[in-house]
Amino acid sequence: MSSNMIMLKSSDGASFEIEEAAARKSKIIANMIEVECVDEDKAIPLQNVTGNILALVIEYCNKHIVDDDDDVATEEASEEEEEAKKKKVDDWEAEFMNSMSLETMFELLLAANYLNIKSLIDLVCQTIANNIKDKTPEEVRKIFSIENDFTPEEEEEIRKENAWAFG
Amino acid sequence: MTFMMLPNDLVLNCLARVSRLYYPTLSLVSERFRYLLASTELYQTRILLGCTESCLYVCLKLRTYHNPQHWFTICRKPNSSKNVLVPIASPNSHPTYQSDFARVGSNIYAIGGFINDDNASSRVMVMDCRSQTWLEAPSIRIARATPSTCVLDGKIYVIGGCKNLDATNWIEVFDTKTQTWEFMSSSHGEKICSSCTYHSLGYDGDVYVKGFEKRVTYKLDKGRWRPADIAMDRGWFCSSSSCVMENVLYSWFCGMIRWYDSEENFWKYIKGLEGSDELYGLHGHFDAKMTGCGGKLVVMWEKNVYINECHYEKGLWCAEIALEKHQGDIWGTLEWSDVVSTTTQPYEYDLAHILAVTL
Repeated sequence: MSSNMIMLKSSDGASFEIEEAAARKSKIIANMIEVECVDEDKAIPLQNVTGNILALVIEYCNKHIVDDDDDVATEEASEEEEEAKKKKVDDWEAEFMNSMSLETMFELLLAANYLNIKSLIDLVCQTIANNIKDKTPEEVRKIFSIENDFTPEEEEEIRKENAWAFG
Repeated sequence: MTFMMLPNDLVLNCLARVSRLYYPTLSLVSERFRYLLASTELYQTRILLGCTESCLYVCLKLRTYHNPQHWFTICRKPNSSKNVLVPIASPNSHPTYQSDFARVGSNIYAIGGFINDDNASSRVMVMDCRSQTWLEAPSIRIARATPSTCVLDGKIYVIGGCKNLDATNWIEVFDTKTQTWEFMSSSHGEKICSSCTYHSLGYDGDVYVKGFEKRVTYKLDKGRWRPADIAMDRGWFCSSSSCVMENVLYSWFCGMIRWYDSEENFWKYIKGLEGSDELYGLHGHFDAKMTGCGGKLVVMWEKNVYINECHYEKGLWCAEIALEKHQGDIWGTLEWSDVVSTTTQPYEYDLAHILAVTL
């Protein structure tokens, strides 16, 4: 495994050093490396990602590159070990997502989308989905700052339609 | 930065991961939610992400003039683990009367029945369960007031439903790919085509029909009608109280669920459900509806509960049973059972059909 280091630069000018193997979690960066757009002395500019969000992306990639290495090394690991390891990753991910506000989560999702890191997109979308489910419409509007844009007539109609379920 | 500022594909990626049980509630959040939750893109995303679920659709028949039929889905009430029936409110929804229903893919077809002035109808309506909107589909060739339908290999068979049918026209077949109806040609239909109403099943690669008058099951085997196995015939009574899942025929009978062992030609009870009072308190309860739903059995029935000496409440109950095959037996585990709707006017409606759709 290569331990080349590459530099990433956020939209607000912050620079981050990251192992190439971790950076390759992003399909966009991996492509850049493939076509040798990466000059070893220069940082890759990421114009759509701010420093605080890029730091989170890097934290995620670093954590998961270690896991991927483990996968290769312990091919014959027992089922229990596999399960224990998966639980460790799940716990880390839960903690990671728990540590941020919804607003940060949305920005992280945009960054993951821009950098094309599928597993991170999955993680953030699943976390948002878990936050949406099992809430009343009012709670969803409040938590996600969504305006109720139904006209009073539509609202009345909807209320009538759903009276016997929610009444 | 807010959720609604995310591009559509990311919002859809989040919504697709939420169980469809919550969609009726989420549709009330805002116009954009309502629009996205009924979009084809959302259901494509659910398929791509492997988030599809089996969703239950329930048809109730109101006990008013002409018995109009209305469709409902199951919704999880927020902040509770309670499932309730919610009506499907489609802008162009309209009641049907005595139609029979067939599910192919994500579509529910309503076939025949009555139209307003007591005449038999040849109309076919189709609901796309993703957008939950009804559209008109090609009509059947003969108006049928009380048809029976079944599905086999993506084709819809419509059987009987009116008087004066003969062996050339008593069955019509709809090919959902070409969207065309044709009369089915088969031999030896003369013996059974004289019933006005039938029950039918698509099972084990054949169409099975049972006429109301003769009450004998025939199966269509290589283009020719012949009597089905006598044991098989004796164990099923009504299309909507029977279902076929993974080529096993299940049937509800007096509060017990049986399955047909086609190797031994014998109906067997599902084992392991004996302790489930909810289900077996229904002894003698003839009319329950049953469907296969994502590898599980879903059973629905009506139960009256007396509030006082003169008045009672009618509840619609639903149970989901997980199945496991083991050494020639099928074992069931009751996963949940609960009342999903109650009414103080027991004469308001009857449970008519239940169907499962994978979405």
